[in-house]
Amino acid sequence: MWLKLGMGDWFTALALWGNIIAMLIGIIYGAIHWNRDNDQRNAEK
Amino acid sequence: MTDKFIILGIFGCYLITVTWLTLRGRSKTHTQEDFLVAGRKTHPFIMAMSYGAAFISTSAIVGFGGMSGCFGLGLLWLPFMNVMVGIIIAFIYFGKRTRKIGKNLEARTFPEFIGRRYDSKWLKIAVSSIIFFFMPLYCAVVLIGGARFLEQLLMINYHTAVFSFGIVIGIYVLLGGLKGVMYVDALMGIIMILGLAALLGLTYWELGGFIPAHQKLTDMVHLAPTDFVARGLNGWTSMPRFNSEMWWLLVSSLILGVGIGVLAQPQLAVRFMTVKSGKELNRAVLVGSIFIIITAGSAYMCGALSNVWFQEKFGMISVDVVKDQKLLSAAYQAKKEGRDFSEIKKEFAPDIDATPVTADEAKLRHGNPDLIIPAFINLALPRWMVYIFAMTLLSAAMTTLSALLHATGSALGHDFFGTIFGKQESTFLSKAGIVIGLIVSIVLAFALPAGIIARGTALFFGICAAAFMPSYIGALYWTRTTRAAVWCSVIGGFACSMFCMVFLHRAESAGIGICQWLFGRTELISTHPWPFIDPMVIALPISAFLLITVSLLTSKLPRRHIGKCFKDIKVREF
Repeated sequence: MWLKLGMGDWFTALALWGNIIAMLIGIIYGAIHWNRDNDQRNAEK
Repeated sequence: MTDKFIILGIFGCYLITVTWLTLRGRSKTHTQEDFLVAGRKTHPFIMAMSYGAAFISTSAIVGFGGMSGCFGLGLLWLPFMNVMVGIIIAFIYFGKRTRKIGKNLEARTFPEFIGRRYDSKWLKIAVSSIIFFFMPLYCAVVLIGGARFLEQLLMINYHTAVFSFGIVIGIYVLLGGLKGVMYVDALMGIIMILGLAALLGLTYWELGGFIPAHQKLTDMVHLAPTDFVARGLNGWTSMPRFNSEMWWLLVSSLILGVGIGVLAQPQLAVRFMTVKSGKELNRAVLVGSIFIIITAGSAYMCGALSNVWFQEKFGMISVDVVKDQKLLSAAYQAKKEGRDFSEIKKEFAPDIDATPVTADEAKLRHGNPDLIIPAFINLALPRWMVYIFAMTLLSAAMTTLSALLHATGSALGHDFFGTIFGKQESTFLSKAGIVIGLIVSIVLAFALPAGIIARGTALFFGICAAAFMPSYIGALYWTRTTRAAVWCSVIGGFACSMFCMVFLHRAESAGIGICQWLFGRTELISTHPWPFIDPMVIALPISAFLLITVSLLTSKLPRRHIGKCFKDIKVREF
C-alpha cells in the first residue's frame, strides 16, 4: 500500500510521514503567525 | 592534482567569506550585549539558521547518518522529535518566554538567566561550572569530526588539522562575538541545506525513486548480519525488536536523549534572547522546521539507503564495505578511471561469518559506521557532489563548534569569573574564557579515543537535560519554584547522571572503568535492559521530582522579584 511508502513496518512509515507533517506544521504555524506578536497585542490592550 | 587545487580553492573562498562576515559582525559589536546576545536584534532568518546549524553538526550527519546505515530508519523518529520538540515546542513555548524574561532580567547567557530568575549568584556560578566542565568534551568531539574530515580532504596530519581548525574557529568567535558567529552560521546553514537536499535527491535518483528505493531496502531484510539481528535489528526499514539492546539505544539514548535534551542546551537557549520580539520567533519556526528536516532527515535517509547501493555494486552492506580498506581503495581507483564496479564485486566477494558474537566483538567484525556516509558520497555520487559535501560537512562542524566555544567562553569568563570578581561588563573575560575553552578542547581532541563522537554528544545532552531542564521549565512557567528546589534539582540531576554513567550505563561505565575497578564488573546491574537504558531516562525524572517536591516544602521567592521576572507575561499562580 502506497501509504507505507515502501517501509517494512507501519511504525517506521509513520516516522517518515511524521517528519513531513512536522515540517508542514512548522511552515503553516510560521506562515499564519508571520506578522503576529503577542507583545504588540498586549500593549494595544 | 587538479582535485587538490579545487579543494584548496574552495577552502580558500570559504575562509575569505568567513573572514568578511566575522569582520562585519565585529564592526557591529560594541557592547557586552552585542557580544553575548547579538544586541537582541537578530533577523529571524539568521536566528533560525544559526540555531539549526549550531544544532546539526558532523555528529548528526556522519555519526548518526552512519548509525542509520547500521540500524535502519527507525532513527527517523529523531528528526521528527528535533522539529516537534527542538523547533516548534522550543521556539513557541520556551523561546518566547526566555526572550521576555531574559529581557526583563537583562540576562545575557543561560547561567545568568537561571541565576537572575532565582535571584542567586551562586546558582549562576554552579550552572556555569557544569557547562564549563562538560561542554569542552562536546567541543572536542565536534572538533575531532571536523579534523578527521580535513585530514582526509587535505591530506594533512591529524594534529595539524585539529590545531588549525580550532584556531580558525577560535579567531572568528573572538573577533565577531555572537553577531559574527550568527552571520557565518546563516551562510553555512544555506550551504548545509543545499548540500544535503542535493545528496538526498541524487540518492533517490540513483536508486530508482522515492518508494522504489525504500522497497529495495525493505527487500534486503534477509541480508541483515546475524549479530545485528541478535541485538534487535529487524531490517533497515523497521523498528528494532521491542526491548532489545538496539531498541533501548535507539529510543532512550538517541530519540529521547537527543530529541528532548535539545531543550536544555545552553548554546541554543541563548539564541532565543537574540531576537527583538515574539514575531521573529514565529518566523523562525518556519525556517527552522525546513532546515532540520532537510539536514537531519537527508543524512539518516542516505545512511540507510546506502545499503541498497553498496549491495547492488559490491554485494555487501554498507558497514561491511567500509571495513575492507582494499575494496575501498580499489573502488576509489575504479571511480577515478571511470571503470565499472562489477570487476571489484567479483574480486572482493563478501566473507560472511554467521557465528553469534557479543556487541564488542561485532564492532571488530564490521567496519566503522562513521565511514559510511563519506564512502557513499565518494563512490556513488558525481565529483561535484563530493566538493559540495565537503563544504557541507565543514559548515556543520564550524557552526556547532563556534556556538559551543562562544557558550563555553561566556560560561567561564562572564558567568564564573565575571560574577566572582564583579566584572560582568567586561568582554575581556568572555574572550579569555573562549581561549581557555579552546585550549582545553584541543587537548581533549588529542587525548580522546576513536569512535567517541556520538557517545560524547549523547553524554553532554543527557547531563544538560538532567541538570537544567526541570529548573528551566520552572523558570518559565512555575512561579512557585524555589531557589532551594533548583539547587536540589541541579545537583540531584547532575549527580544522578554521573552515577548512571559511571555505574549503570554500559556504554560509558565500561569505558570509564571505575565500576570495573571497584566491583570487578562493567556495570552494577547486568540484567537486561538496565545496561542499555540511557542515564537521562533515570536522572531527568529524579531531577523533576526533586524540583517539585522541594518547591512545595520551601518558601517562595519574593512577590516583587516574581513580578519583575514575569512583567508583561501572563502567569497562573499555583
